[in-house]
Amino acid sequence: MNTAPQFTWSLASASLRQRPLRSVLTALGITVAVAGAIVFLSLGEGIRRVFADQLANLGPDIQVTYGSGSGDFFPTTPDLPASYLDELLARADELGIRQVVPVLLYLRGGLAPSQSFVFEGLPAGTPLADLFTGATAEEGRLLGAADEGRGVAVIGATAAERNRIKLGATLRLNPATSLEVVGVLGATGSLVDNVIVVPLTTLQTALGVADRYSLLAVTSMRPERADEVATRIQTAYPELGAQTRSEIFDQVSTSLRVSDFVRLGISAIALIVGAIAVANTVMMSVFERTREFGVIRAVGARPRFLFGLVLSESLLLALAGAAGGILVGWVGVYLVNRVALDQLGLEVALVTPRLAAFAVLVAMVMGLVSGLLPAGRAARIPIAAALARE
Amino acid sequence: MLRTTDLTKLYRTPAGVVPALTGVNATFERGKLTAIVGPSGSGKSTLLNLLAGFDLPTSGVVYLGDTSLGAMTERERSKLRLTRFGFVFQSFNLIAVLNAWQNVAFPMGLAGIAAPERRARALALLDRFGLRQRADHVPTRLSGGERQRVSLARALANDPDVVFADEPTGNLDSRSGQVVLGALREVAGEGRTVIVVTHDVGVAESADAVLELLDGHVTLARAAVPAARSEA
Repeated sequence: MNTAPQFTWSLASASLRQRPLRSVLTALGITVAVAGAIVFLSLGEGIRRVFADQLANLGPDIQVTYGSGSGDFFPTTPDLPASYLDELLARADELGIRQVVPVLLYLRGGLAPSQSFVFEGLPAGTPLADLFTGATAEEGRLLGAADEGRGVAVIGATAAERNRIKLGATLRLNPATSLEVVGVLGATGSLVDNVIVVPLTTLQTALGVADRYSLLAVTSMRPERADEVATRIQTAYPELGAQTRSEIFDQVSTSLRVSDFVRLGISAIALIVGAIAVANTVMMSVFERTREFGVIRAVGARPRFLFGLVLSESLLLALAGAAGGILVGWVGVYLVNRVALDQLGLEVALVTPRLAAFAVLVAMVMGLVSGLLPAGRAARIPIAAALARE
Repeated sequence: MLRTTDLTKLYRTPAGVVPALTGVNATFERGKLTAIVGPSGSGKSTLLNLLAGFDLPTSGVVYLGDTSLGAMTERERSKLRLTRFGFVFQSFNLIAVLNAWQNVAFPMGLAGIAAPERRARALALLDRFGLRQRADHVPTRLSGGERQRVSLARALANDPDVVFADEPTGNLDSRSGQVVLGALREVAGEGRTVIVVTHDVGVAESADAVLELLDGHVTLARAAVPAARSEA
C-alpha cells in the first residue's frame, strides 16, 4: 500500500502555507546563504572567463620569461636580458619560431583600481594585431616605427573609457616622462583593452632598464605544435621559462581552483547557518504538531510517511530558498560587475549554468541534511502519547 | 469481533510501577455500539489505546478475529488501522491545513487511492452526514458538531470493521451530541463494531453494551437496556 509522492508533497506544501511568515523567513535564510555562495563563487567563474577570453585573443603562442618554471601570467619584473631576443631569433628556424616580440610591462598602481594603469612597451614597428587579434585604432592612429623612442602612446578602449582619456591627452608615466595619446583602440575583448601601449625604448628609458624585458612573446610556425616549440626553448635555455597559452590557462585555473575552495569555505559558513535555521524551524514545527502527527499515525500512516512529510517540507523550503538565492545572487553579481567594470574595466563575476545548478544542489543537500533529524523525530512519535498531548 | 484476554498495562514512573489496566477480559461484538465508561483515571483511554494498537499491553492479548495485534509488526498494525479501523476523537483532530473533504479523503490518500476517487468518495461520505455544502471549508470555519461529523466521515473513509470514538460528544452541545450519537448508532447498524469511550450517561444508556472500569479493573460488563428504548 504505497502513498503517492504527490500526496505527501501537497500536504507538505499546505503545511508550509499554513505558517507563511515562518516559512518565508526560513526560506529567506537559505536565500541569503545561497545568494552569498553564488556571488562568491561567480568571481571564480568570471575571472576564469576573463582569462580564457584574453588568452584566446593573444597572437603569440608562447610566453618566455626569465627563470625556469616561472609561470607568472603577468610578469612585470624586467629581468629578462635583451640578449635572449637575439638568441631566439638566431635559432628561429631550428626551434620552429616564426616571430619573437620583446615586451616590457609596467604596472603603475594607484589608490583605487581605477587609478592604476598598465603600460605595455612594444617595438613601435610591430603591427599591434600580431600580438592582439583584431586590435585597430578607433580614433587617431597606431604606433609606427618612427615613434620608437618618442613620448607617444596608444590606449586601449576600456582604459580610455574608464579614465576618460581622450585622443591628444597627455599621460604622465613618471615625473620625467609624459606621453601624448595618439590613438584610441577599438574594443577587442582582450588584454589590450585595458593597457596603454608605449614604444618599447620609450618605456625602457623611462624605467631605466635599457637591456631588459619582462617577457618575449613567441609565435610558433605551427600553432598546433606550440607545446613542442616551448619544450625546445626550455631544453635549449633551461634558465628560461617557456609557457604555452594552455599552460598559462591551466596554471591560472589551478590558482583559481585554490581560491574556489577558499570562497567555498567562506560560503559554507553561510550555508551551515542557513541549514541550522531550517533544522530549527522544522524541528519547532514537529514539536508543535506532535498531536497532529499522532492523529496521522492513528489513522494509519506509517512512520515512513511522517518521515517523508517532514523531509518534504524541509526540501520545499530549501527549493524556495534556492530559487530566491539564485535571483538575489544574480542581482548581486550584476552589482559586483557594475563596480568591477567601473574600477577594473572587467566583468569579474559570472553566473554560469553549472554554478546555478551547484547552488540548487547545495540548497537541496542543506534541506535534506537539516530535515533528517526532525523527520526522524516525527517518525518516532508514539501515537498514544501524541494524542494525549494538549 | 474484537476481544481481549487478561489485558494488563503497567506504566513505569519515577514513583514506581503504576497499573493502568489489570486483567481486562472483554468482547466487542460486530453490529453493536459498546460504551466504555468509568471515572477519570479508570483506564478507559488506556484500554482504547491498546484496542486500537496505539500502544502495546504489558501482558495479555488483543484479538481482531483470530489475529493478535501484539504479534503484528508496526507496519502491519499501521495497515490494520488504515484499512480496518476508524477513529473519532473528542477534539476532532482534523488536519488544520486541509478542508473538510480533504480531511475525509486523507486516509484514502494514505491507502493509495487515486485523487478523483478520493474526492468522489469523500463527498459522498460528507453528503451522508449532511455536510456536502461544507466540503470546501477548513476546520476552523466549521462548528463543533460539523467537525465531529467530518471526523466520523473520515473514520469511515476506508470502510472499516471497527470504529473507535473517544469522548465523541465531550466537546459538543447536547443537540450536536445527539446527532453524532445517532450517526454512531447508524454506523453500528451497518454491522461494524463501534467502541465509544465516554463520560456521557446518555451515550452509555443508548449503547448496546457497557463496559465499566474502575482503577483499571472491569467492574461491570453488561448488555445495556436503555430506558428510552425499553420504554419504546
